[in-house]
Amino acid sequence: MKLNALQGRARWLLLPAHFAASAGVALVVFHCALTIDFPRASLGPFIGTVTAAVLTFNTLSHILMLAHLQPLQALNAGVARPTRGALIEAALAAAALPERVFWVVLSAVLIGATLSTGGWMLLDGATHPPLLRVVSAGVCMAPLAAALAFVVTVPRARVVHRQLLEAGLPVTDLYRALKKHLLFERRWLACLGIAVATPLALAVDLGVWRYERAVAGVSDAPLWAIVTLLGLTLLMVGVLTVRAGAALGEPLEQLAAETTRLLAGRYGAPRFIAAEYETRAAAAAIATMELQLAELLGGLDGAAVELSEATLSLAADDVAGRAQLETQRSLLDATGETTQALARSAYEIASSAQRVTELATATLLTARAGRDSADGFLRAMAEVREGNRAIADSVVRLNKRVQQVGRVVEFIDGIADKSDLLALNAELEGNKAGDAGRGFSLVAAEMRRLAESVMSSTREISGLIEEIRDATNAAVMATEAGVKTTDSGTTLAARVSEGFSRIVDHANQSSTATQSINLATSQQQVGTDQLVSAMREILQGTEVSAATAEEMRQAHDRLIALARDLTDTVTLFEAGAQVPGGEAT
Amino acid sequence: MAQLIDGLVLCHVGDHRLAVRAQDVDAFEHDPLGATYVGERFGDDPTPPEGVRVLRCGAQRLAVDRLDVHGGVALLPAPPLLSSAFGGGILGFVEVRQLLWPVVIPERL
Repeated sequence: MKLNALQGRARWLLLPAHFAASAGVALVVFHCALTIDFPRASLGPFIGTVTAAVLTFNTLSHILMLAHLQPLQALNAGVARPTRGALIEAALAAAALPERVFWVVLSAVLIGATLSTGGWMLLDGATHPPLLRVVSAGVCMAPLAAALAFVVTVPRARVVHRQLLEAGLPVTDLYRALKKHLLFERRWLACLGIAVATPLALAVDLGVWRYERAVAGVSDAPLWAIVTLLGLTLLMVGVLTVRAGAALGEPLEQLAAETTRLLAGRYGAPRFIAAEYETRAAAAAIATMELQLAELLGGLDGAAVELSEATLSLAADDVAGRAQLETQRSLLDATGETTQALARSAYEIASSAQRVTELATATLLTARAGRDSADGFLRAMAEVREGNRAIADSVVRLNKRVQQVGRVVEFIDGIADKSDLLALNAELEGNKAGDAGRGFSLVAAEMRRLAESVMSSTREISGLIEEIRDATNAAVMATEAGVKTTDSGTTLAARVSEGFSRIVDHANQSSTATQSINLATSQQQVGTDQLVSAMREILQGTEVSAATAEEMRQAHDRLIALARDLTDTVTLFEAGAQVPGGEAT
Repeated sequence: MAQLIDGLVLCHVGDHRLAVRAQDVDAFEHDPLGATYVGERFGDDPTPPEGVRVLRCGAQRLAVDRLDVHGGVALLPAPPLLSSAFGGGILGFVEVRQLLWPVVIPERL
């Protein structure tokens, strides 16, 4: 940040205003002293009054102008940081200063001189009316002094703008911030009119005055004085004309130089052209255009390079692309045949899937019937098992009864045995008794035979009981074996039923799966049909692509030529690196 | 001259047979405990089988497999040599049911 260059620039900007105002007041005073017949005692107080009024007015206007330039003074004093906003505010204050200086100086000369004359008349008690002369002198000199202050302040404001740019204010921001008042004709034509009208008005005024003096027979003013007044006025007009021409010509020359540079194709950072009104707007437009052109050229350069590389690459790929297109066409032919075969296979698969679905459904029904049969067999086995258990219980009860019968028979056999032994003893005693016991022996023998018959019967019964016992034991064992067999059969039947249930579940799942497969194969068949159709369309599209590729090859050739032309055109320009701060001219 | 016997007790012991005069037998019993199985005298197993009959003859008790009581039968005397060879325990023989039965004295058996 180069803020040192701005040191004291505020007062420096106001110096032309004070100079112009002083010169204007001096001419007014000189004009009044020449054309008003002041008593010798009143001339001094008049000059003093006017001078004091003008000095007071100048002081007040100076204070006001300094207040207007407060952003610039804040930068100078270091109160404000040199941020973008502070720099822009300072630039705006400097840009608006010439206009304000014009009106302040105009007021200082015209109003100050008029009011001071009026005040002097009241204080001096003058009987002659000099106010009209003072007003006419002010009217003649005030615009000239104000225009002179304006044209001298304008270059100084431009200097301040350049120094603000050096302090870091971007050119584009400065252009954007400055007001685009299109007052070129009004301002500069006003200066031109003042430069022309002021000498004429002064000459007319002096002529009228001299005529009135001649008619009244009053002595005329000395010629040298009139010539001096006119000469000083013309001098100021000349200074005004020269400074106005310089203030007008300098930015136009810079603008022409910038335009010439742009026409030469040397683009870079936009330069600041210190100017006002339409000239500044034109400079801003040119700077913006330069920025956009530089960016455009940068983009065009890159685009041209990329376009050239891309077209070259496209041209290189074009040959390979055509070969690939031929390969693609042959592959598409083969793929089309494959998809047709795939469609046929899909149809056969769909038919097979339909048959499989029917078989799976039949399997499911059979499995359900088998499961029902297994369940029925399981229930029958349970009934047989219960029957075997009932038989076994009956046989056990029968065996117990037979055992009870055996014990009764044994009891009877024991009784018969004892009876036999008793009869045997009786027969023995009868034989011992001789003839007397012979009848007794016969009875005893008969009883013995009965007892032996009983014993024989009991032995037979015991044999039968043994046979029954063996048979019942065999029956019990058989029924127990039957129960075990029915248990095993029940277990096997349960396993068979469970197996059939699983078979039913699996068959159900198989049926569902086959139905899904059938649906999927149907969809696959539709898909393959669509695929065949799509492949046919792709093949047609490939034929179209081949024709398009040929057209693209021709377009590539034209594009390569266009890229070369564009590159050659872009290389004619010298787009330099862009500096954010820009460059001031 | 043949002697007449009023009553005989015909005993069967295995395949053997013998006869005892009825007057030599006091009673028939069932319990063979403490009785002498007659089959032992013929070289058989001394343990009596089930269902034997016991002849109580004074202090002696003889067990046989089966017995029968028969009426008066003529005794055929045994030769003295045979009787002495048996220690005087055999009295003679009787013919019953067309079989010849030796008649023995229980105390000498």
